[in-house]
Amino acid sequence: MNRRRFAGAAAGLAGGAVLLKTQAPPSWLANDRRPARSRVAIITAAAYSEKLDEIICEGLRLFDLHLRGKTVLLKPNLVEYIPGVDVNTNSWLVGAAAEAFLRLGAGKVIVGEGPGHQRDTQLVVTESNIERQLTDRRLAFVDLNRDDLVQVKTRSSYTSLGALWLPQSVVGADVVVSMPKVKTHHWAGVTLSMKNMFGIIPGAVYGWPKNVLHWHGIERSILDICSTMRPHFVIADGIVAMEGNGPLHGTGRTLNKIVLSDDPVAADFTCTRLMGLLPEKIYHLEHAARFLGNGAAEAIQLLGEEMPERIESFAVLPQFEHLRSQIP
Amino acid sequence: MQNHIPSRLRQLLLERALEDGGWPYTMGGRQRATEPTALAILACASRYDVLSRTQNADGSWVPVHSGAGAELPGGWATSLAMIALLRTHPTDPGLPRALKWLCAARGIESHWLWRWKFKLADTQAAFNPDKFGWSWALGTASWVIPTAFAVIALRLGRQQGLTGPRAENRMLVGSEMLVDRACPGGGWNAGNSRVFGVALEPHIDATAIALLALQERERNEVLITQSLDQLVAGTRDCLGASSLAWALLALHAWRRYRHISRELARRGGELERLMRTPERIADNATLAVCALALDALANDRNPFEEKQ
Repeated sequence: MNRRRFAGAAAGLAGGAVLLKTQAPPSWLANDRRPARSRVAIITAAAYSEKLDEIICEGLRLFDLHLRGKTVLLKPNLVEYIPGVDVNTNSWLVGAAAEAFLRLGAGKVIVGEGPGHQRDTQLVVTESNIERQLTDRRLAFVDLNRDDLVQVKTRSSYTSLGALWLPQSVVGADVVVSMPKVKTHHWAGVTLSMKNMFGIIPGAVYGWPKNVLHWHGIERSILDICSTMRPHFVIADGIVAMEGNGPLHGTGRTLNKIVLSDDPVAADFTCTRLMGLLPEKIYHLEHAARFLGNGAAEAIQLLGEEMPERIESFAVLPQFEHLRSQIP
Repeated sequence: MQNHIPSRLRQLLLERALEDGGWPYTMGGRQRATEPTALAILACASRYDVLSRTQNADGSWVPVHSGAGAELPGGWATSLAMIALLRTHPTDPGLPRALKWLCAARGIESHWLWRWKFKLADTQAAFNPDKFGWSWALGTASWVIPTAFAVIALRLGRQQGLTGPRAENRMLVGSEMLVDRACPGGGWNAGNSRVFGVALEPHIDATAIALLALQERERNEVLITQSLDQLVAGTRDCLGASSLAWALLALHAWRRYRHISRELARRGGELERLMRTPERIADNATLAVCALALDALANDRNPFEEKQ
């Protein structure tokens, strides 16, 4: 090859790389981290009570997790307290999860959250009864909005953020457990284990709300956050879920289900199906299933109960009507 | 009997200061953050030089010093650093630079392109994009708390003769933005009064900080009356120390009205009850704002009150 041809080929390659970087779907450029098979357990629970300790412990045993001496960070969804409305992950479930991980050998369990709108984290933690669980079970709480920070390069490029400032407690935990409340969401369609990870983004840097992420696109930000800090496990609170104008002003919907999974994408696909909605029509779920976890039913092994035979779709706002599997 | 709580809070804060000056957000943290540092300097009448040392060349302050090479850009905490300096060292040479930065920083909706987007296409959240203030982070929209802190900082700067017509205009538009973003029944939350047609509830701390920024207005304005009433009602049996302390500072600044003045002592008693075991409060900004609130009650010293 002469010099001119070499220069031409090099320029062509560079141009191709730039074109690929700017035009290719971001999922092409992210490493495929889908496990061969994901495990999900759907478990029935009648109510929020101390009985959840045993239920969660039994559920976790199905997964044969190796927890000996590990630091587990539980990340519930605490948005704000609205009297009479089930907005947050229930405190009984958070307490039960902590108890179960400790029983199964975890060295330390921390509860951490960075509420998105309410700056007074202590107020949310107290009003949502989490404080009582923390005291009774001697658990530490970390305010993820104000923790010390580490800069981490994003592992996908759905946004142009390039890097995220993340709390040291999250980055340093051996096992991060996303504990969402199963809800509809007026911007993203649903808020489940992946959307719940917005709460690890520190308000001290990104604000209240974390408006930087909104400007980069909520769904795209969910994908970059979850690819960068993929939760290791999910315990989703669907005992009382929310339909309609979630995440704050919807209506309570009793599902009596808890969903456990070792794959956040599989967990969210399963929860969405339990809501009677079509996960593959939700942007961040559909894209996550291309590289981050499994969405296809055949790649998901159900360890607990089967999917209910009949599911009545959750009510949604008009712009999400296309998500309903049964149009009324 | 003398109230020892504020001095205990100050002592705790001094114990939690970082070796090289300043405070982290939480007990045991190692990274200096501007918000707790500014509030603790005000609460402890502590040395201000850490603020002078950590000001960026452009006049701003970063919210957190990660100390890991990569640094964050300056942002919302600049207003708090300015308030601390204006109260403790008003002749600091960094203040004019800070003021210039603050006057240049603005919510992204002030750009005509985004303004039209919010007017024509993106209308789920109801607000008037002509009324803009300050954002949490550069390149994003205006929100209530950073705007309120910026208005307070500029007003205090005006008292020191540091402001000009540009700052006056920003104060005016910023105050109008706060009025525009108020919840339908009074009070403020992060900055969304109505989303998808649903009226959202106010938050105690945002309401208090906005009322501190709007001290020049008159109580006979419906919004101010409603918001003060919201604050009084919302802080009954309040379980959040930070929220209650900000509410006390706001009520103290509006104590010229008798029924507000009556509620002050009651709320002060509630805050003292929450502060019985301050060692359990991990958040240094909360400790500092509680010390400031109790000090305002006991000694009439309120650093956010314009007449001080």
